[in-house]
Amino acid sequence: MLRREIYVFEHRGKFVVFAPLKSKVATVSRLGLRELLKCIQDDRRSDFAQISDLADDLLSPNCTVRDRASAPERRFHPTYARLILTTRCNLRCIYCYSAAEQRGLSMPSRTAETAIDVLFDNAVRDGKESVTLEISGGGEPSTEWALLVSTLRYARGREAKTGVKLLAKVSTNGVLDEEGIAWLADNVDSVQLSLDGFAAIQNKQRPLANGAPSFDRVSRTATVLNERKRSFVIRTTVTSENAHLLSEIVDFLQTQFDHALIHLEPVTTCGRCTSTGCQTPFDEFRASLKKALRSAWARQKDIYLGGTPLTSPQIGSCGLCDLTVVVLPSGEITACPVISSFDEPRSAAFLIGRVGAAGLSFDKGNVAALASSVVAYWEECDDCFAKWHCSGGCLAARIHAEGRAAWEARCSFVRDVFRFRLLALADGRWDGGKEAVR
Amino acid sequence: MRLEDMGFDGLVVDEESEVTVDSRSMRTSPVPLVCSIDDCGQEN
Repeated sequence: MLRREIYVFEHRGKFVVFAPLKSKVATVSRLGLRELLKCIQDDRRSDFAQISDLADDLLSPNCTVRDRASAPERRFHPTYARLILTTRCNLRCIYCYSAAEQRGLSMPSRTAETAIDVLFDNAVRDGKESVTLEISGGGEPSTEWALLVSTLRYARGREAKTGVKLLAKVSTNGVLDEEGIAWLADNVDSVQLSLDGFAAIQNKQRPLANGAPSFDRVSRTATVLNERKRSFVIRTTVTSENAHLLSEIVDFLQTQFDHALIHLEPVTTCGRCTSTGCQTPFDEFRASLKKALRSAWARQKDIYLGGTPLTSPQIGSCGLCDLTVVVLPSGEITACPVISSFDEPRSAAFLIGRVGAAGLSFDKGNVAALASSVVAYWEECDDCFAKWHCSGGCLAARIHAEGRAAWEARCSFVRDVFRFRLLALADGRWDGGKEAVR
Repeated sequence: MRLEDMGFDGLVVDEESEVTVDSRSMRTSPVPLVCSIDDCGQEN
């Protein structure tokens, strides 16, 4: 039996009531909460009309959740794919989750085209208006420039032929020449580049393969995108090098690149982290982020951090909500871009299929298992007010976290930031972040 | 904590107490990402 999803926090002498499945917060007085309790626990009307109206509102959520036994099997017709074109990279970031190298594996163009065909075929069959093709992860896609361009041109061709809109996204480290920057600005709907803050931090955390600094190159890319008034994302990875400086870094980035959405994330302790020891100090991150958020809100801006935006509720983290197809250069399909080797049982569950000559084939068992691995059914998250928005968190991070305490630190951090946003919205100190739509 | 787990004991009020309500909606997607687990399955 699933319980009512209404939570309450005592805050500044009043009570904030949060209904995640209704996407609503309400601040009520002590008497107001008492009356609300009567309505909800005793199922009767209050003498105060506004309380009865609030109870009616909160008890009619926008989403309903079935218990696991009665939940039907989810269909799997993906219209969102992420292609990892190559594991080759021209940088040596100290926290790279895939430990990308100069000699990497690149995807045959036919593999990319087959995956794109399936997306558009699914969209046409299911009457969807758009497909999303994301090129990111593994290595740096611009090191396979010809493949990147031909893949996007192929997808645009399918867009023209089918009438299904293509949303093309590319994540890059930003080390591009002028021609490459211009091409991305002209041909890609959403560009994300990685910049970890000031020059000294960026150059230490994200050096070129030969050890040379990368800041000036990446900053140039951001400048061009900004001058073209393109909305783009700057992804900043938070480590012990920059956690204490987030407010200053966000001020700098939002001032220099006012068309950019700043996206902060902690490291996932795998790949090169295992040799460099790079970690995210969550206590420092928490304090620094709150300061940065107050400053950003004062500028009518926001900061994106996975699991914390006050958006519609989600049932599964990342691509697991909609079972995004992540195609590796080998043609294997993983449900998570961070998990690209499947040697151990926990990671083997993420291998959901393969691209072959005849199209995409899927491991129905793994697809079904991941599709049902949604936060609504996780006992450990049952009483957590944040679970509909953090969606249980990054499963890759959960797998790679070194022990329960490491995971708890990350979980507690996300929960605290989410609560900070909620209370700011309830207080009217923040408008809910209309900008932070990824 | 969940509202339904709250008791009335901690909510003693005096006669001069007032009822105040200030509610705000969170930003939601134009097309809800999740209507229900059931509906999400149909969408996918």
